[in-house]
Amino acid sequence: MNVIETKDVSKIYNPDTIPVYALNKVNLNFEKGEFTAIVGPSGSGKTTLLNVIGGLDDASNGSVMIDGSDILKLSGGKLIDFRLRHIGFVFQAYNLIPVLSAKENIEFIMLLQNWPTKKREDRTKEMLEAVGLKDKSGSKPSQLSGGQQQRVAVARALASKPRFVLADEPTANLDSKSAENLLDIMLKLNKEEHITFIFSTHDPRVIKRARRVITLEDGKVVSDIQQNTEQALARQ
Amino acid sequence: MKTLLKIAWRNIWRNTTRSLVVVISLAIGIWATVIILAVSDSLHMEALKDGIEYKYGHIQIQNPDFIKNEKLTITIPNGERILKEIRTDDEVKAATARTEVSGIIASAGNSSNVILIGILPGAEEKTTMLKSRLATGEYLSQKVRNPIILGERLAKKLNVKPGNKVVLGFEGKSGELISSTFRITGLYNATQTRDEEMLVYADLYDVTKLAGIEGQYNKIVIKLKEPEQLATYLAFLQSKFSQPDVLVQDWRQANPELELISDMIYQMDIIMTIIVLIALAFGIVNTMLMSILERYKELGILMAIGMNRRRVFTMIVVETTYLSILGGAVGMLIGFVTVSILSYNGINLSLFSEALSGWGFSDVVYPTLEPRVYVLITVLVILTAVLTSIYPAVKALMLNPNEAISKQN
Repeated sequence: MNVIETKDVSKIYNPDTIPVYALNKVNLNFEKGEFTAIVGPSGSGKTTLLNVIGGLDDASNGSVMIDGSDILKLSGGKLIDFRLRHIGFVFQAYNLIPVLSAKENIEFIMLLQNWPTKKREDRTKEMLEAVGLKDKSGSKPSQLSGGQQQRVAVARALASKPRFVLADEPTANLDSKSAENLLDIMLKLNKEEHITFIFSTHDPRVIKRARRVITLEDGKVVSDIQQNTEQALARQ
Repeated sequence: MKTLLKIAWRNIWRNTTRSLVVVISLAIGIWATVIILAVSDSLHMEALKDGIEYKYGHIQIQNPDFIKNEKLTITIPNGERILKEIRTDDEVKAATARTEVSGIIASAGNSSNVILIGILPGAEEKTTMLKSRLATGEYLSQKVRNPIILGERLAKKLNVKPGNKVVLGFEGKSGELISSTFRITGLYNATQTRDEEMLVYADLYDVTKLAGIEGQYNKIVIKLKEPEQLATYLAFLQSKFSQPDVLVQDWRQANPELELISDMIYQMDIIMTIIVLIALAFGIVNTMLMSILERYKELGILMAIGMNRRRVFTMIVVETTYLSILGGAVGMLIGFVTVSILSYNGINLSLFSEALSGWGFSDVVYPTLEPRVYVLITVLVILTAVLTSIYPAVKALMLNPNEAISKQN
C-alpha cells in the first residue's frame, strides 16, 4: 500500500533564464513501513525532494499524493496542519526547542495535537525509554550530547505516531557510535511502530542498513534498489 | 496554551540581560509617568480646591451685566429671596452672598488698587475656607467698626498690620467716590500672589451701607453637599431662575481661567503619557524584532513541525505581554512607594514659587494619585505592549519555514 506517491515532480530554479533542475520529473512510490535512504552527491536534490514531500518547499511541476490528496495543492494553515498530523521531521542539526527539556521536546507535537494528558505522558515515557534517555528527561538540549539530542529529535518525530518520518542527514553530525546507536533505534521503531522512514544521507553506515536505496543525480532518480540489509551487514 | 505560555516565559529569559534592560526601561518609564501624573494631579487638585473651596464655590449666581461691567450697582434682582430659597435646598451645604467693587486702598505710607469683596462673615465661613487662611489677627471681628482683612503681601506693601487703619475708596451708587476708614482685623495668605495683593474682604453690610445698596448682592456663592450633584443641581437652578438678569453658572463657566488651568494640566498629562507610551512601544518593537531575528531558524522549525501561525503569533504576543507586565508591575510598585513617601514629605518647589503662585499652586506639593490612575496606566502599558507586539509577530509569521531552517544550516 502506497503511503506517498510522487508524480513527475520537478523543481526548477530560474525557469525563465537559465533553468536549473533541482528535481527533474521524479516518480517514486513509498509504502507503509519502508526504511528508505535517498543518496547522491551534494546538490543532487536529496534535501529538496524531502522538503517537497514534507510540504516545506513547493514543486514547479508534478504532484505529491499522500493518502489520495496532493499536498502541493495545500496552502497556509492546512499545510501546517497536515505536517503536524502526518509527518515527523528529523533534521541534521537536531533543531530541538532550546528552552524545553528532553521530555517537553518529545511531548511538544502531541501537545500541539491536543493529546489527553495521561496518554501524552505515557507515550513520552515510552519514547524516552525507546531512545534510551529515561534518565535525561529533564535535561535541556544544551545539556545533552549531539547523539542524545538527535535521539530526542527522533523521539519527538515519532511520538505522535506520524504516517512517515522524513530525516535529512540524521547522522551527519554524529560520531560512529552515536550514529549506529541512532540507526538501531530508528530501525527498532520502524519495525515496532510500522512507521515509514525516508532519509537523505551520505553516510555509508545508514545506506547499508536501509532496505531501499534511491540514488539521485542532478535531480533525477538514477537507481532505486531494494536491498537485503542482513546480507549487506554480513558483507560488511 | 499552557505550553505556549511556558515557552514564551522561558524565551524571554534566554537573553536575561536584554529582557532585564526592557523590564527596567519599562519600569523607569512607568515610574516617571506615575510621579509626573501624581505631581500634576495634586497641582490640579490644589488649583481646583483653591478655586472652589476658597473663592468660587461650586455654583455662582450673578447678574450677567455684572460680568461685562463690574459695577457695585449691578446686582441680582431679588438676591435676598433667591439666597433664602437656595439655602433650603437639600443639595446645598451652604450659600453666601458677596458684593464686589474695584477701589483704592491707602495707608499712611502707600496705596494700591484692590478689589473690595463684601462678605457675610458667618455664611462665608460655612461656604468657603477663607477664614482658614488667616495668618495673623482675627476674622472680620464685629468688635470694631468697619473691619477688613487684607492679604499679607498687600499689608507688607502698605506697611500695615492688624489693628491699623486704612482708607478705602470706591465708586458709589451714582458714580460718586465713597471713601471710608476700615480697621484691619487680620491678614490672610493665598496660594496666588495676585489674590494676596488684590483682594480685600470687608463685611457686606458695611460695604452695601456705604454704597447705599443695602440688601443687594452682586454674587451668590453656593457650596454643595455632594460635588457629584453639580450638573443636576445646576440644571435645576438654571431652569428655576431662567430670567435674563440672573445667570447661574458652575465654577467652570464662572471662572474660565480655572477651567483653562484644569484643561491644560489634563492635556499635559495626556501628552506626557503618550510620549512615555511611544518610547515604550519603540523599545518593545526593537527588542522583539531582535529576539525574532535571533530565533529566525527556531521559529522556522516550530512552523515546520506543525506549530501553526496563530500559535506562533500568540507566543510572540505573550512574550511581549510578559515583559510589559513585569516592567509595569515593577514600575507601578516603585511609583506607588515613591508617591506614598512624597505625599507624606512633600516636594519643595520654592525655587519656582513665583511661577507656581501665579497659577495658584503652593511651594510644597504633596503628590497623590488616585488608584484608578494606577489601573489606567497599567492597562495602557499592557495594551501598548500587546498592540506593539503585533508588528514583530506579523514579521515572524511572514517567514518561510524552509528558508528559515536552511538559512543557518
